Amino acid sequence: MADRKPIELAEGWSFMEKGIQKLIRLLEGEPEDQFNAEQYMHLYTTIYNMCTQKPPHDYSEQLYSKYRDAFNKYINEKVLPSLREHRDEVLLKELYQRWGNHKLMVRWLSRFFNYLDRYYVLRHSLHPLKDVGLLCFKDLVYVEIKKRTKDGVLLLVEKEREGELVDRALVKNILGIFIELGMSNMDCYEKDFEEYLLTETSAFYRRKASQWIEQDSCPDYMLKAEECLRLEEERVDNYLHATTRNKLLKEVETELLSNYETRLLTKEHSGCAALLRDDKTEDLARMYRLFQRIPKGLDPVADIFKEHVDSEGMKLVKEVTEAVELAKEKQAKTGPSRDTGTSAEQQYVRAVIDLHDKYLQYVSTCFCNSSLFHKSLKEAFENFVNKSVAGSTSAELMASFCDNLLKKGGSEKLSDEAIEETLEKVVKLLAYVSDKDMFAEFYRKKLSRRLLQDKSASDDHERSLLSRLKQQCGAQFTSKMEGMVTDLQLAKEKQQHFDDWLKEKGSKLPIDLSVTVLTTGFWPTYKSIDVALPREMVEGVEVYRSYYDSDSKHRKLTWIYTLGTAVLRGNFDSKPIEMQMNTLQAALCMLLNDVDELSYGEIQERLRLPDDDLQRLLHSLVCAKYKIIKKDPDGKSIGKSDKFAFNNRFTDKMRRIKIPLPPLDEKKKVMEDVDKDRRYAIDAAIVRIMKSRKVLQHQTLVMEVIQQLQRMFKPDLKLIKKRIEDLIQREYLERDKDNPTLFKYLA
Amino acid sequence: MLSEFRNATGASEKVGLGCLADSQFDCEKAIDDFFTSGMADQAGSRGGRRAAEALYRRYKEPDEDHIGVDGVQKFCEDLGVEPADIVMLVISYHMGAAVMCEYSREEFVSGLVKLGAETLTRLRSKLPELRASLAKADTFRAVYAFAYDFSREKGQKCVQLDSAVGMWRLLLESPHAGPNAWSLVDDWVAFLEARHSNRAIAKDTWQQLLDFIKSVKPDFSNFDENSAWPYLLDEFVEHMREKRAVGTST
Repeated sequence: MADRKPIELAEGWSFMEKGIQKLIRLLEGEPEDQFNAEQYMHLYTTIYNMCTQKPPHDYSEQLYSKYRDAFNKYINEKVLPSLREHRDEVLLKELYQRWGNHKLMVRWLSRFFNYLDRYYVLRHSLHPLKDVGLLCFKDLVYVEIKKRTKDGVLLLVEKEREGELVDRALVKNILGIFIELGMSNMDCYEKDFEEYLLTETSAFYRRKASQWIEQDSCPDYMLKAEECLRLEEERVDNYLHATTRNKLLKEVETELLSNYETRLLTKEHSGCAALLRDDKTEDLARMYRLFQRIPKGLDPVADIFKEHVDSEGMKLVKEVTEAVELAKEKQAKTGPSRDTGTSAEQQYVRAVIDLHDKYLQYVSTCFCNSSLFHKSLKEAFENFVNKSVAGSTSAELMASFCDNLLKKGGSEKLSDEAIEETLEKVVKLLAYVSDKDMFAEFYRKKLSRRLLQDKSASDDHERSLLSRLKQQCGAQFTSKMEGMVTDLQLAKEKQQHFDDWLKEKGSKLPIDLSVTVLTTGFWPTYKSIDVALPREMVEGVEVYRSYYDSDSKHRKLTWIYTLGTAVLRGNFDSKPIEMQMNTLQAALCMLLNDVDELSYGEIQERLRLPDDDLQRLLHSLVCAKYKIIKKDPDGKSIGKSDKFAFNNRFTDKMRRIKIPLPPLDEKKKVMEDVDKDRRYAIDAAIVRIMKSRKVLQHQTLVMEVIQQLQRMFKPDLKLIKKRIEDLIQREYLERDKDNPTLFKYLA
Repeated sequence: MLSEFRNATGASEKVGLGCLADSQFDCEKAIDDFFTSGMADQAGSRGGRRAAEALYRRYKEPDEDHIGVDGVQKFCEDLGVEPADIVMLVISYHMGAAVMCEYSREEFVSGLVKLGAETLTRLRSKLPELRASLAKADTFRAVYAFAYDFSREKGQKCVQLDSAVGMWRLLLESPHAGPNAWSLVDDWVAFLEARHSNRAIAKDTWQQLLDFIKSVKPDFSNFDENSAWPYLLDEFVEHMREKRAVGTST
């Protein structure tokens, strides 16, 4: 090798240039043979030799720059002029082809000059040959035509947005150039294309949105918006880079959704409220899908939903209140009519259940069970359900509704499953009622009547409702009610026991006596009227008392005659009739057994009843449907100077009749009981809290009290204040001497 | 006669003789003169407590060991003030009297000694000072607090509305109360008469009212419903706001 003469630069380069010329002709599609292996070897070897000759004949540096010059020359002579001729789509096509050629050229030339890469480039930390090739294109071609290219692409994108078919592959290829020229980062794509695309997109949809919002209804607008978003996503898949997806969609969402949300949602005849009103569930679901895309986009939808549900609820409240008032007016005119059982109040609870079903369905289907919408539903119901309906609280109405479901002959004729389902729903509604204690009190009152008057239709339903209540409101809530049900079961056993005991003793009572022993505390408080019973009854009472004392010690038996029933046989002139009546009514009737006539005063003396009770009693037997007793003088009301006698001419087509004693108005008493219980509950809560905290700010104390009690009821702030003052008075608490808003617990 | 005089006044024989002579030996007049003129001062200057004891004996119920309604009445006459004068409340406060219209021996005697006014003349000369002391915030607060227990009837926890109203008027409308006076007493009383059904005023409400007067502006602009004011005050403010709103809207 040593004897070989070094190759001079000019000589070597003119050989290389021929190779390059041949390559260019090939690229330009001119007739030329492909390189064969020998030619290629020769070219490579030439470079190798020129780079490995001893200085001053090492031409690495010169060759490296000539390598670059070769690209520049080709680009300046051929590529740029051909690109300058074209615009738009043609330009894009030409560019794509030129780019392909260029890459080919880079591949070949970098192979010819490969030896530079191996040694010279490495040692001087220069750009590798391939990069030099790409950089030449970037510096000369790209810099010049990037704007026109970008415009061309955007034009195609806009055409496609307007519905034209475009050469998606071309767009994708062109964008590929932007990405490749970034040389492993996305700068070119992002700065020279994406940025403009986003601006353009935003402008495009701003134009569209401003038209659509004027001309389209809310559902139509949403359809378009959803379609646009779908198409944009497709566009990303088709030819944009995946990183563009979120940015692009965000622009579209901002223009189509965020900017017009309020206008869209409140469109006069097709906005969110209108969709709710017209039950457009599909559109509502679309609304949810769209607005969940933008931050806080659902909040206004949820607000409108809440408002709508609330107003629907308030509408019910108003309708029912009006209906009840109307009925009352009518009744006042035509006199009392038979209660049909399906009063407006009953329908109200049913309607509230239906309303809840409906909108719960909305939440789960249209609004994807989103917690935001569950909250709206809850708040709306909590608002209107706690409004008073025709002078009653919903707690009371719901208790009556349950009673109607559970009692024999209630107006709701439902299958067992339907009853169970309805009960479950009522209990669900109860969660929205803040006065749960009020419900409990009314429910207990109704339950006691069902149990004692044997009116409960099904033990299973009773128990299932109790277990549902227990699950939702806690064991404390139902413990009394459960005690009542259990009492009644025990009472049956006890009665059997008593009958056995009687038999054993060989004694027989003048009347059939059955006693139901109730546990004080479980049951509502009843007024115990100390009536003087007829002889026959007194004997029964005495015998039972002695049985009870023998059976259980240390228990006090109190008789509540007002709850008792008796069956009397009335020997009327035409036929005997069995009459079922209240124990008090029976006591009154039996007074008239032995005498022809008694005056009001005499009756009162014998029964030892206060006036109001006696009046009510007499009225039920003298002036009501069944006139078992006649009075002198005849009349509609009971006077204190009237005289009374057994009406032996009474008759009825039935052989057995039931003579009702109208119950006292219990509502007021229930409310009073609830109020009293609340006072105790608040006192207990305050003392409990103060006992553990010792010293507490007024406001903290009030908040904690509310928190402790809200499961049962919503305590009135004024009431809490009064209770605190009462406890100060009773020296459980005192104010701090220096800070009167601070309370101290006095142990 | 001399021993009767000395029993009543605790004065020396010489002073007694002098007084009796001056009154032409009318014993009762001599005793009156002794107490109401400056005489007792000279006698009292030697033993303050003794003079006070003597004064106590002048007013006490004949058969019981305390000063009753009649004694208080006479005490007022001697001092030349109405029993309903606010200064009597201040004096009672200094005596630490437990009940209205009644002083025990200890309350009366120690109270006078504490005041440094064991004789009527000295006490009389102290009256303007006592009245003026009400203008001071802490004295007023102490007298105000004292007035509640003082107005309570025996065995009662609360003061009845009527007594409370009397006291409020006495204290809060007194010309001597100075900055402690309250311009809304009429409104407050009218509100209570109309709205407060159980007609008893709890001690807490009594006490808080003074804080309320001191800290809440008469237009209630800085009143906070959520603070710990007794509910009567909450309702009073509510009532007044409604009343004023009606007043301005018409």
